[in-house]
Amino acid sequence: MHEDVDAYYRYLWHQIAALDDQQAYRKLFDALAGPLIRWSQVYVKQYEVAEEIVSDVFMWMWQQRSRLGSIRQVRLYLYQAVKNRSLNYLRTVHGRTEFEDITSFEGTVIPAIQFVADDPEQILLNNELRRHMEKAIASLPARCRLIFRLVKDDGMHYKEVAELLQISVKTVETQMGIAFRRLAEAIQPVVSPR
Amino acid sequence: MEAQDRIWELMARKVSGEAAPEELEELDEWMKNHPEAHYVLETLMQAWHPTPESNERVKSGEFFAWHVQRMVEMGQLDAADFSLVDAGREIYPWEIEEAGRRLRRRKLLMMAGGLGMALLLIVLVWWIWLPEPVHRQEPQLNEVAVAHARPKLDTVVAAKGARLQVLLPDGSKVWLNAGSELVYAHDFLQKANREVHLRGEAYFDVVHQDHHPFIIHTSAINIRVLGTVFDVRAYPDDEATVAVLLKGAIEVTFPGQPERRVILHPREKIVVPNGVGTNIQLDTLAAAAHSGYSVLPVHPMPHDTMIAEVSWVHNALAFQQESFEELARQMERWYNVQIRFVDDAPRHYQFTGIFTSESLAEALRALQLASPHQPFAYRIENQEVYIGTDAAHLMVSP
Repeated sequence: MHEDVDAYYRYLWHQIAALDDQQAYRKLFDALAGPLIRWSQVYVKQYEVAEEIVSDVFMWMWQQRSRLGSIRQVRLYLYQAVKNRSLNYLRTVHGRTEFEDITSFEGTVIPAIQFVADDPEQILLNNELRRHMEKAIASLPARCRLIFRLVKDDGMHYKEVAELLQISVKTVETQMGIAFRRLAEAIQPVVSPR
Repeated sequence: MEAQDRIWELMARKVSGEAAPEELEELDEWMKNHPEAHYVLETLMQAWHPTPESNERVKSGEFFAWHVQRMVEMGQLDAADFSLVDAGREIYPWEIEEAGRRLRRRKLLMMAGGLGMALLLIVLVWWIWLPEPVHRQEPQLNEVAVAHARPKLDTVVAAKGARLQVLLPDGSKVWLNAGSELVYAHDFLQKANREVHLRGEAYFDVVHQDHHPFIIHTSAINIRVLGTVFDVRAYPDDEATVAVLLKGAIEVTFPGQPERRVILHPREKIVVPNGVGTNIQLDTLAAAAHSGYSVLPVHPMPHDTMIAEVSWVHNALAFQQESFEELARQMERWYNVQIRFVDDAPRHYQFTGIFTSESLAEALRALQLASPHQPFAYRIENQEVYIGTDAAHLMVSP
């Protein structure tokens, strides 16, 4: 599933860079603008600023498309660009420099849990499960929650998350393990047959 | 303990698609001895969907329209170069314009920070006096954006503080309330359906044509009619979209849900929450939020035959048991002002009444006199009105 998405973004970016394909540009924008706004908000908090940063990055990508044709990790590139601009913004507006400390990601949006089911009994059970899981996620340490969100909601590879947050893949793995342990503890009483 | 941690890490890798074959094997081996863990793993796998996009501005294409508009305004892009391609849905002309308006407003704010108050004042004065176009054909921006693939469109705009009457090519009459916009295709009559798009409020008197249904699109509902008289209120910043039927019959459908339809009878109204209201107070709206919509009877005003919902057509602003907050929104459009509540209590006051030729100050004074048990003070400053429980609260406000 991961590979498909990466290949798809790479294909879109190729269309944009080589053929000025506006439809591909729109598709890339539609797919990534939402997650990128949320990603920017990890740093800048205010929604409107985050929107502007994401728009700036996409604008720059369009302008520079012929020069940037060789980018392969399209999504990671966009996330990096949004992060850099967000940090720049904090630097110029607040004169802050200590924001690299990622333990302060308190404002991270909490990912929502969704099940797919159509039988009513299962839906009822799933709602119960969802509540337990969302509570467990909300109570995770901020950094752990952010990593979990990037992997689950944004569909990122461990490697990408590690590069983005400048931590080791091992740390991503450990944090994901912690998140899963908490989730498992939260749902165990509901799903285990007695 | 350490072995346990390893298991959770393996599960995480498996569920997120990050596991190498040997890691999967390792996990399988462990699971053989821990059958109870199957339930947990199964559940986690089932819950592992990327969360669907929840950002409405992104989903609706509004953000993309804004982005393109921004590229044009910053000179990064010639509007003619970029045909606002559709990736699946239409972009309505007003989305582009709205994006432009919002951009201009935001730019002003940024300039203010950089260049100081003097410049801000100059810019504000210019901005306030910038006239709103009242009736125009094919605004330049739309032309660029829509001319490529779509038929030519006519846009009729009633600016805030203004109401106007439109005669459509088929002879149907439309009254547009303040701050509303109606869009229809040039070749409206040649189509199988007579289709218009509405943002804001309009009163329709539709000419009956057997084989040409008249369809009104709003963001929350679509309305299909043959010939009838009714009112539609679909302001994007209101809590609900409301359609009131006076004569005939109309069929209401919901975009993207072809199986749901509601038939309205004369003197009934349908209320559909817009999903933007954060604090819906009215009982009727609460009921609507539950079922998705509600159908209610409409009543004439006390001592009058006028129906509040359509009073504006007769140049009157009538309201019945409306919260001050809701009324303020209507007054903003009626008088072309911004109303700000300095205190929260007055938002929930309830009023019933009619304004016809009253000025803004007269109207506010009338509200004060009408119900002494709901005390409030107001201050009018240029295009802004401040409302608080006490005059003292209004002195400190900006």
